[in-house]
Amino acid sequence: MQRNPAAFNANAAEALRNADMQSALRAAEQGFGAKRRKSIERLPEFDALCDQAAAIKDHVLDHLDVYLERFEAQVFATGGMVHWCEDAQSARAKILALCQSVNARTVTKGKSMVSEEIGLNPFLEANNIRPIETDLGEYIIQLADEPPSHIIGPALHKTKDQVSDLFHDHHRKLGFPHRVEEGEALVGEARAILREKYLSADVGVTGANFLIAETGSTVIVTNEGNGDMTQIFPRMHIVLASIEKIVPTLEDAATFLRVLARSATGQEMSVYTTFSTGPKRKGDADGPDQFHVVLLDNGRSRMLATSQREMLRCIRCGACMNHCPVYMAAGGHAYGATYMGPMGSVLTPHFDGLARAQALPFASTFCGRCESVCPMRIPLPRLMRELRNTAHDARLTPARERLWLRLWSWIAQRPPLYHRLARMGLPLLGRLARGRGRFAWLPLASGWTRTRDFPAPQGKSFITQWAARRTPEK
Amino acid sequence: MNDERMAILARLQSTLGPRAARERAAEARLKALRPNLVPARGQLRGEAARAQFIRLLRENLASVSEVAKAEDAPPRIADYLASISAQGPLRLAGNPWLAALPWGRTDLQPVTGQVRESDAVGVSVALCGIAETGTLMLASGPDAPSGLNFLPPVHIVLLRAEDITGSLEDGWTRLRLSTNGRTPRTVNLISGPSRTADIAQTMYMGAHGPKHLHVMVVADDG
Repeated sequence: MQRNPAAFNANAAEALRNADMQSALRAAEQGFGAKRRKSIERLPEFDALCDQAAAIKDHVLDHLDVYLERFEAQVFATGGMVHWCEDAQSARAKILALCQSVNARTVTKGKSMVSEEIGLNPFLEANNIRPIETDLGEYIIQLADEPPSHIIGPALHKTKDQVSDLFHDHHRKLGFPHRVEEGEALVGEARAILREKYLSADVGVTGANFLIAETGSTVIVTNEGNGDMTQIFPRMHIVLASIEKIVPTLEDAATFLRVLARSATGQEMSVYTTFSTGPKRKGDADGPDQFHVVLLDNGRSRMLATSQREMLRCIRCGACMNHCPVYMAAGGHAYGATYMGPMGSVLTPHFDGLARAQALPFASTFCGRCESVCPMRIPLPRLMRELRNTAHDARLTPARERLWLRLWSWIAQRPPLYHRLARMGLPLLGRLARGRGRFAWLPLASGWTRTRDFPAPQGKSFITQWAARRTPEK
Repeated sequence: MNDERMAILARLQSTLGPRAARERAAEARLKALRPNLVPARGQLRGEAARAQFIRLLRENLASVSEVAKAEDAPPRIADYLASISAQGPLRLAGNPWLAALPWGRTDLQPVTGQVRESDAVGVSVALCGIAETGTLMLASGPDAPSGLNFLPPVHIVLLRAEDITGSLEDGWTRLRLSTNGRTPRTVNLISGPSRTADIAQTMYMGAHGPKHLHVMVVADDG
């Protein structure tokens, strides 16, 4: 599969033929959907909380400069440092410099999509620093040398058998000679191997679900506890976060926490929610000596000036992809980008350029489920539709497609002609279907008819029927 | 580096417009620290809060016991550890309340100081319990290493019944009071033992943190 959003169609076709991938996706589809529904049924205030959370994020975006500066001042006041980075390259260089300042050889990492966004791991490796992913899903795909296929379940596409093989291949030389198949045993192997890494790493890098302006705290949520081990034991804790992660107060964070886990995994709270503020204090029994926050813009401040700014409300819960029929058929790798599913189809064109990513906003049926489950009320179909329009206007879509659209719009803007053609065409199509009511094959529609029948028009057009029904009433 | 800071802030300001009014609005919000909507289940108090707190923790696969007096805790901990066949060093957070408990009445020989990989059991004290979601709030400090909450495979948390509160917002109020407004390095919200669903979306316990979380609610702290 190609790591290129332009290859979406080819990638998706490949994914549809991959039986392992399809069985993993079927399990995910049922699991995520049912768990989310159940947890929401238990909280009557859920919708009101989502409205509030979305409103808070809008408030934050309207005051983003002020809150970022307050956050920075609070991090500084508690003994930490904030590093502002315009783009991926700058953030990578900053993190490398910080690691080198303590002669780091190994870096343990908590799960961070922003780290994927800036391509941190290959960069550190190229500079002789070994990044070790500690979230079990991230650990699995690091062994497999694959990108995450889901923002909260990075190894969602892997079957247990595949994980067994991977672990056997990599753990053989680490004192685990036998291939294990039981889930508990697999988790146990990773646990044993990573424990030692937590304790010996020089630097721990985590992401952040939220940055709190009031206190200068960074917040992560996990179920494994890996993000905590990553930041407690090394000398330096680096938090990599994008600028829109700000929330004003601890009270506001509480509101977001109520909708985040429910939307993501259907939990009421993740097992571990951790607020980290500065380095360890004088007299503290443990904690890092140094605390650094690398704040990444990477196009977000520009996005804020566009009609797509609602996307910056996203809290990365993954509900949109969990409920997307296209994602659940094609899987995350098909998108060829860091972020996948509906949220990725909006974000990727902003990060990679619409010329490279124009296929993604078209990877939607516009069924609207993503918008209906989004806790931040992001109008994802509208945002994708805007990107489609922009791609069309910039002539990034296939020339033949634009020609057909032009012909269609020319006819559709001439109602008499349109209706005449429809009156002629409908009975003709109906006769061609020879009373079967469907076509097994239709010229120019082979993309549809290859896998299913196309329904034939039945009877008269809506306009004709409407006219006939209205007349007698008058 | 400073150039990048300036460039990002300048871009934001040119999009967002004049700063003075926006600064006032943000300051007002930061000062008010006003809770947003707190669900009804987060507004429980007293016995109802305690019952929900315990029920939700158990739902999240923690075990919970209740003792009438703090001095009953060590024997109950010994019983609990025997029930899960836990063996090995038991490390206490350097909390004076914990240190004062009559450990001598049991065979347990607790140690204090830096948490080690070989520790089998960690014992901490929670700042408060949040009934809304069955969540413990633990704050780091000289008496409370956060490593103790994660490294040992068994984590035991003592909590005074009077410290069970309704919502996370109530928890923030207690935290600000207890730390004089100085946020500790680490605040851990813990709602169960460690788990993962990263292998074939099946839940397995004890991913990296503790495999067992046992919460002991102490009715009377005398």
